[in-house]
Amino acid sequence: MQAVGGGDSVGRSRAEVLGLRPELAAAHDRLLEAIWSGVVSPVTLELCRLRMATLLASEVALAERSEAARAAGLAEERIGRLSQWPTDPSFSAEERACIGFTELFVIDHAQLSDDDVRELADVLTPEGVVTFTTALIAWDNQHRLDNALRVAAARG
Amino acid sequence: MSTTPRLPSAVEGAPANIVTVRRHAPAVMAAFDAMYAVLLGGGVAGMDVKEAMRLRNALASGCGL
Repeated sequence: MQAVGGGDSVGRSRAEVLGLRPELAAAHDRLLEAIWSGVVSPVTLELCRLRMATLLASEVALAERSEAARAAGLAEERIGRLSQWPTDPSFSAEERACIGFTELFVIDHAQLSDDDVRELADVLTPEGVVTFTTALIAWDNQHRLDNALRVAAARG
Repeated sequence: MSTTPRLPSAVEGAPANIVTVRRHAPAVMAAFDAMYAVLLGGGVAGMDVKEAMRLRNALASGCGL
């Protein structure tokens, strides 16, 4: 395992690993704050974050929950049905468009089409698309960092 | 690989490109750019290593930019 900051990252939480470069950790936190306080529904964001975590087998990210999404009404029961989103009627048109986009982004982003982006813009607006795709980039990096460095779930 | 933007420009009268499309969400992109600047500007890895990683990542992901 690659050493991080002179120590082993295995078993450290993400905050502890990123904290080895405090200015980077702070900038990373500010980016996430800007995303979660933006124009896209926190419920939609959280469903997509968790779907990506499932596809990338990021156990740490799967164990985390967004307080903003919880406050906006996202319950564990619906999170448990996330893999059934294509046929489960509880998922809205916005959520379907975003989860589908997330899946293709992870699995084969080169296959994302003009129609996929148009559908996303129809439900999110262009501002929402820029915010949402930036979120996907941030989570993709975060999940892969967690897996590569074997980051542990946050304690407490 | 196409680099034709799939979103319109957020700047009236300006063509759509990586700068003008990102302006649809200025707060988010400002935070992203600030983090990117920290990544590029400090740490123990040299700019040559970072640029090599960036280009390798661009090749692997098919990014024409």
